[in-house]
Amino acid sequence: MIVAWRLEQAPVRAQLDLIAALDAAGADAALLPCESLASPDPILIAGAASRRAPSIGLVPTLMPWLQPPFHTARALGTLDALTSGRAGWFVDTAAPTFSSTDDTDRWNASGVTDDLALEQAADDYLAAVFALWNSWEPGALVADVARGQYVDPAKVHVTNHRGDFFSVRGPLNMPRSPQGRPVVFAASGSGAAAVADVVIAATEADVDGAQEAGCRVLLEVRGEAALAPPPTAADGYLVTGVADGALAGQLIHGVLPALVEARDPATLLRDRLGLPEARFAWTPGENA
Amino acid sequence: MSLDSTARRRMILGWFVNYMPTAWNRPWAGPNVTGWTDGQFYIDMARALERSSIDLIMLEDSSVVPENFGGTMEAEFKATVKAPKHDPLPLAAAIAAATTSLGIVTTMSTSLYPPHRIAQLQATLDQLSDGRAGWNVVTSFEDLAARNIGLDTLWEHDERYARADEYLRAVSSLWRAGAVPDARGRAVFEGRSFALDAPGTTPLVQRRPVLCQAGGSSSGMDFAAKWADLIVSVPSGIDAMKAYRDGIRRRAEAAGTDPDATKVLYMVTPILGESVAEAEDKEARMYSAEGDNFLRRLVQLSNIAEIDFAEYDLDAPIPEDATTNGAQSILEGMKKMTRGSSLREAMSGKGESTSLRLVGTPESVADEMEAAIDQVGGDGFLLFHGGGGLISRHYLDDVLDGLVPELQRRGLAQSGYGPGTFHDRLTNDTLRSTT
Ligand SMILES: Cc1cc2nc3c(=O)[nH]c(=O)nc-3n(C[C@H](O)[C@H](O)[C@H](O)COP(=O)(O)O)c2cc1C
Repeated sequence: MIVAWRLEQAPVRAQLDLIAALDAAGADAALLPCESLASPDPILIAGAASRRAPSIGLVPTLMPWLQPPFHTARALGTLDALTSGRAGWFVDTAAPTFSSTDDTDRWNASGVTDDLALEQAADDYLAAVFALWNSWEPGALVADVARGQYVDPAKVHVTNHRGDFFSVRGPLNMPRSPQGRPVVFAASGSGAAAVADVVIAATEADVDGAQEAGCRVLLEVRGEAALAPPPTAADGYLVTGVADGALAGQLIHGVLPALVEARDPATLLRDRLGLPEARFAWTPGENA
Repeated sequence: MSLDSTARRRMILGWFVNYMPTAWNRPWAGPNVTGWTDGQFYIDMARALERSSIDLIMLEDSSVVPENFGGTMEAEFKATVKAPKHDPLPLAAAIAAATTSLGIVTTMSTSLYPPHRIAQLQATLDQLSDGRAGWNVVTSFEDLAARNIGLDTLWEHDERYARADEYLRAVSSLWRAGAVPDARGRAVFEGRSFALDAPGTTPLVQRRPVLCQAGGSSSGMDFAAKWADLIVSVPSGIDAMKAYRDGIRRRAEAAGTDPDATKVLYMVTPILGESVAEAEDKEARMYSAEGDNFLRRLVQLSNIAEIDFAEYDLDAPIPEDATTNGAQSILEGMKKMTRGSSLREAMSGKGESTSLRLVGTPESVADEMEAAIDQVGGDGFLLFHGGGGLISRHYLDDVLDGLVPELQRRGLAQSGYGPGTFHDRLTNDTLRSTT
């Protein structure tokens, strides 16, 4: 069984300690929260955890409304490099609870309440981020000392994503990351589930539908219910809603050992979850 | 040389570095020339800096693969001046977890990030590092970077600084709103260019991150003097260093702030040997016109000025009428340097721009640094051997095991850290010694 855990919003030290404990217990992934702008940034918490927790997948939660797609593609790509291939992204498409605007005419989610517009914007954002992650082909980093060529320019492509909401020229200024791209997580029923590698099902009834999409499915088990996880057709569990230290200890020491599988600590998160290799896809025609 | 260490201010030492390839096509490149991507080289480096009581590490940033030289990415991927590069922020977080006293300065652009995002990221770094975060406030100049965030071009030079000033007020309002214990409020900000209605950030340990800036132009220096705790600069030569620092201090006084609260560092690349002759020989090889250095310097100049130097006559001066919407001060400096000579001449035999040529033994270089700071009046140096493709453990050892102990022996550089936050330590002028 895959065992993932979504941390509750908590101060950075508490999050770092819990991530280390989950890593030691053999959990596969830690989903790191970002409730609002008042929360510490989960990408940085993942970066800080990268050495102390050397094998667990680190999956920051990030809303598309937080920053332009370029910054998200770059920060998560770097996290994947920094963790030697253990980065993920939980795509949170809830409506923004803040407003931050400037005098440019770029699309901005502030004040947008129309669900359809937000869903379309999130789709476009994801398309932009994926396009950036594909701006470098596998093997572009040649480091050919004899020819004095560090990168093969023929394998780096100008992205030119022009969507209805976001446009980005690209390419990324970083090489393709160890997993090709971070593993994308989303809640079943959210727009992002269509492109996600891992879908979170809130109930057993959601598991079937999600599995049809050909991704990994985790059944959410909340709080004390995680002490006795129900049988499921899903590929594993996502433990959520555990704010209490005693319950967390009970789960980590009493329940997780029976659920987790022994794994090679140097595995990519993608391999650990049994996902196929990230496809390289860049079509010049579409991007011109 | 046996001056009482309390009679003078200590020299602040920082190290400026890029999350980029380490040395790959030169001596002492190490066994794995693509290994830099996992950040471990730079985490190890930060720990080495901390062992040597260096005040701060400063991580550079830019977000483009430049196409300035020759109109394509090709030259950049040979020279590795700016690309490939990773995002410095996640690395800074890993460095924070691996160190306890080193100041950690990250570069973020007011033209590229929305203000709420920088506020959140800097606040998080300050927590993760327990009060050691610093922000190098840059305004960016590459139009390619604008096109990565949905804009066609960036604003004109002085307008970027006008926007940055408002930007800092907006970001400060988010930090202030987050600082109120137990009742974290919302910040509401209405400016000319930015408007915010958002919750305050997670509380910082410091009042705000150490603000670092590198304005070289008049508007840049105004901005730096008004906001910065730390200024990094490359005025060339002792007279220019003194003029720059005096200019900053004059502006700070005029703005009603304490000039002693702003520290000015000068960028240098010491080249060290067991004898002066050995160091000079090393310098000649490092910057030889035969190697890749010439291409590297041309690509770099094209990037900084956003001008395609592949189109200019290498054997003539830079045209007086060349203009840029980028770093004007650097372009004007280059015009001066090539007046009566040529691009080729100006760029042979030298590396990156630095404030002082420091080539010699640890003792002779320490003499020069000491004399320079005495003449200029303060405040320290920013060590640098970059951008990409140059730094090696070998170079770090030269400086950290050769030069820094000599500066410490003379009571010029600290050999332990003072108490408090990064900001507390930066403004603490008395010398720390573990002995
Ligand atoms: C030591 C030093 C470090 C700098 N680091 C960066 C950087 O990381 N990213 C960036 O975009 N600009 C960087 N700059 C450029 C400055 O922010 C500034 O634009 C430049 O010094 C020219 O001054 P001006 O903006 O007043 O014309 C740096 C400059 C110096 C001197």
